[in-house]
Amino acid sequence: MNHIRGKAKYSESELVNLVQSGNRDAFNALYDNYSPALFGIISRIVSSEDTAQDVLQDTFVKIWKNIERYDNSKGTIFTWMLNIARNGAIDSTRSKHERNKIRDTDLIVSIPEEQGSEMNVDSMGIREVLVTLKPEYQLIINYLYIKGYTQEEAAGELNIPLGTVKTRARTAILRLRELLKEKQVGR
Amino acid sequence: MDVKAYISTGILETYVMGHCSPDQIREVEEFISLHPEIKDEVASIRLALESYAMAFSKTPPADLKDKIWSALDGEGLAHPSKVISINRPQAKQSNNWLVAASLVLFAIAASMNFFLYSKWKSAERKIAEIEIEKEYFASQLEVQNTSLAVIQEELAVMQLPGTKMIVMKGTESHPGALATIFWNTESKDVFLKVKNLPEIPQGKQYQLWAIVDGAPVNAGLVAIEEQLLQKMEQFSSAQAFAITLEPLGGSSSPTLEKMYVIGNI
Repeated sequence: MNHIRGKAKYSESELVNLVQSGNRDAFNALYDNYSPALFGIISRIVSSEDTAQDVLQDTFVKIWKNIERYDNSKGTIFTWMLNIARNGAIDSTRSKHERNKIRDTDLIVSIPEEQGSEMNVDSMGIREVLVTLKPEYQLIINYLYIKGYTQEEAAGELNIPLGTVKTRARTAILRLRELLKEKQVGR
Repeated sequence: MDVKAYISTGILETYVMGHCSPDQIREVEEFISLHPEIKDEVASIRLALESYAMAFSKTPPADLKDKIWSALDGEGLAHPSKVISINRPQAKQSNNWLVAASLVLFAIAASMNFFLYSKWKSAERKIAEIEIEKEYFASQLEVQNTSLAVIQEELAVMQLPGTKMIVMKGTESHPGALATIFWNTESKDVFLKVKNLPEIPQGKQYQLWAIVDGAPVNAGLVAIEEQLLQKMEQFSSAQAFAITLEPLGGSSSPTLEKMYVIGNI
């Protein structure tokens, strides 16, 4: 993710260390680097803009409170923050019965749509890659990773056997990796 | 341990996406610390998924950062030492009639609010119903699009000059099994389409074989769930294709009593 880390003035581990020591500038940098990605994910799970903003705010409050617990041997800071954001978003939909299924079709990246102002420049390169990833593969990643459905829930939604969910997820991620490698994006 | 076979089970993807049980997490993390190859695989999966997540980036409103800081300051988290004191202004003596009048106004406003609220609620319910319908149609469209993509891809491969279609029928012990090979003898490309193969038992995997001059040659492992054509190993000559059930990761020679389908050319 050069497009994110490249423009940051700290390396990821420096940034995390500084935030862990209570540095406000570092926390601001963390927010600047990652809030668009997290806000994008949250917005795909909850249906109202206001709720999405609330969840993002909560997410960063939790990040600040719990940053001590982040352990870089268990994964990247982004994945750690993404889990907090995703869980927050899912919790808010459970309490409001508004889990947003409608946007499945929005989530499929297809050619010229949605290049409007709300889209983040960082995401352009990767979207060009996703256009070539088959919709069924995008769907399975969306359910399991972006929206945080369990494998059983995804099997029910997509009306396929549980075993297929697992193997299709693997195939989907393998294809994604091949595409990213070909285009030299995201690394 | 066979690292490749472990990777091919898909558990690492499940782990990165956060769907492993606590026991599985312990297992995966142990293997990560033991096998650099597994560690690298996990890192690549994670990087790919993170890149994927970036595709949906959306810039939050500019004032949200300040709101987060006020929330943190408000909870006393940003400055643990700072004590926040709240000044409570002394209530002034007020005239009773003013209190009465404001109570009446409040009652009117409250009943208006209730009326508008119930109107709004019923509108909201209608919208929810419509959205459920929309959802249903969207999912139907998705299903249609997927099956269309399947058919289009098959057609494209079949129409290539030099493509042969070989139907592999179920063997005596598996009469219902069915799979098809599209073999282009010019480009040597071999594509497999699984129509019907039984659910795979734990720890097993299907493997495709080409029979070349009477001897079976590995043609690749089969992804049973793949609805689309899967590209297998290339062959310039073969007299038959067959699928057998083998241990995870495949075998170097086929287990003939576990043959499910075969098709001669």
